[in-house]
Amino acid sequence: MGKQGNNSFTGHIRPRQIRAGALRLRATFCLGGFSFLAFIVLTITGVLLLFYYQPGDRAFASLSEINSVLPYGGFVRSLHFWAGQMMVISVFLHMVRVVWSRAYRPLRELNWITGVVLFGLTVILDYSGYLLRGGQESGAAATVGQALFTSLPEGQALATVFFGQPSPLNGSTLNMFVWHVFILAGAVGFLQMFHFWRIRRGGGVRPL
Amino acid sequence: MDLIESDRPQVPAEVEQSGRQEKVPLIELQVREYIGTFLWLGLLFALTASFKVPLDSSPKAAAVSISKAPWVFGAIQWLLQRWPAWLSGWVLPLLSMAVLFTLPWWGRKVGKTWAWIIFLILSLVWVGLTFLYWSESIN
Repeated sequence: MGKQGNNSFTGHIRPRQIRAGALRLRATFCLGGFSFLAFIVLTITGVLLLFYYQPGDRAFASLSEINSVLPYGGFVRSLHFWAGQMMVISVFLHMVRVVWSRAYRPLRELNWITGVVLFGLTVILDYSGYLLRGGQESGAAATVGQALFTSLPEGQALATVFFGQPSPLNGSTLNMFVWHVFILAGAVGFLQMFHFWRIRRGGGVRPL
Repeated sequence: MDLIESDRPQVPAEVEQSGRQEKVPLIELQVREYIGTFLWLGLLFALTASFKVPLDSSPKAAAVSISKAPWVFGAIQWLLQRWPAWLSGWVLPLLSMAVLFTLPWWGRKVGKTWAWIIFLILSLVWVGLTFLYWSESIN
């Protein structure tokens, strides 16, 4: 890359030299980086699960096969589950750290708002993943979510767009699958990149 | 997406000052990042190996009465069991999100300490309700 590398996006995210203060663990507790790491693990394990998972009526059966028939299938599914839970927790703790260190103040306000959106999307991603499990518990959770939407004016249409038509015994639908795998995960991925870019622009180093 | 220094917005004094701090090579941060990544992945693999994630009840099995939410929505579920859906499912969560969005504004309006207290109370209420729901669901 040469000299031009310093002006590139990579050079911007990964400068050659950083402030000594950025090395302190207490500066970030690495929580933003851990959240991103969880997202990477989720993406990798999610792609692996995509090869076998089938949304809709076959959801539970395909997950059973992944769990018990495929070599390491249960392990990959568990890894996906635990990375999801750890992402929710680390994003929340990251928010606590940001408020504690008052890192939401001017110049970083937009990044705070981006972070709150990311937190909301992470929670919804966790919920949509729960529905894709396709069992009776997911059906019950989908029913509650649908009931919440239908309590709104024009809520029925919104509920259909988001949930599709799940049964009370199976929350997995093609709609929920598309939201979970493409729309929500894509939005989280894009917003994270924007978040990191803003961190550098605001004088920080990078996520971790 | 090139970004040259002249494009940068006016930075406040504190950031300017931090820019004059002692600089160290990036590799020193990278070493810490690798150690952090290693430890975090270790914890994730330990969790995965120790706690097997069970399947839900089969949709083809006899239907059982289930009113269960993923733990991230446990607080809302706990509220839904007691208060109307419009309040528990919409007003309170959206109000909480609105407070979070406007926290920088609260920081300027009522002071940083109060902004921290507002955030702390909000977090403790939601985390507390989540634990309450979780403890009730396992009993």
